[in-house]
Amino acid sequence: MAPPFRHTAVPRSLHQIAACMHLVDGPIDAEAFRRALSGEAAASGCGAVAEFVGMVRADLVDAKSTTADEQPHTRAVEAIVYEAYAPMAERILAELEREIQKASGAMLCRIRHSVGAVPAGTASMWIGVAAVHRAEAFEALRSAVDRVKVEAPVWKWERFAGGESGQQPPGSSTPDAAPHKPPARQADDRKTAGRWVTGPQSPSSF
Amino acid sequence: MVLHVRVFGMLQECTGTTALELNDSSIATVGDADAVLRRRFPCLEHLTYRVSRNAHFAGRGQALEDGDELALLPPFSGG
Repeated sequence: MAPPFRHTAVPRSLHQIAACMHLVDGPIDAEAFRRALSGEAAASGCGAVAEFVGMVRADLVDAKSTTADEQPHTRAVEAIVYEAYAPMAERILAELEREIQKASGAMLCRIRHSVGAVPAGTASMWIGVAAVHRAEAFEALRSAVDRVKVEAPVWKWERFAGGESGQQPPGSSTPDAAPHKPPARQADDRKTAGRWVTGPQSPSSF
Repeated sequence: MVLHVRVFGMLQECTGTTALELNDSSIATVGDADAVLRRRFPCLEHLTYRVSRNAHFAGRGQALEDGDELALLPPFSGG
């Protein structure tokens, strides 16, 4: 089955040894990252380790019907498909780690975020921090979670249950195509398969 | 000048694509390229997004070079 996006994340089998990479293909194995951070924390003399695990919820959402009246009806989210601008995201997440360590006094900050499909009930974001004392750890963790959501170039598309599991977000199947409007029927199919989630950030165009 | 343009998130619904090339000798700045894209995709006028040049946020007046990669970035929604 083709992945919903073309991205450059580290393959799942390799991501745990690629400590410098922040984007992970598919669901995140939080336990593996927690063990690695705990080992680093112990070796660094830290007395506090804190982590945040972001999970995909099986929300019920109102989705537009393809019928002429376009009345909304309830659909269940079976997965979130994450898309990232990989080179920019890797750089920004690395900068965030350094800035948060410096601002909070935490000794270690590690951020991992999924790309591709993440089923409901599995993890899509993991942030771990370690510090000498708990106050710095909690401060660093809260700051990291808040900043990742608004500063990392990542977007999510909610895939509804009942659609084809390989369904792609609108436009993603034609990466090299000349500008065009997608066929109406195709666009309608994709509306029923999922929807983009609008972020909280509201930047001006420039 | 040839520019590689990447399109992300809900802007793909507007443009119908994730990537395209601009080959236009009249383009000198990020603002010029954005104007060309808005003429080609009028729906962009109604959407909020920022533009990056070679994976860094760019202002309208920033000069472009042949082969640059621009990206249209709608509000982020990670996490």
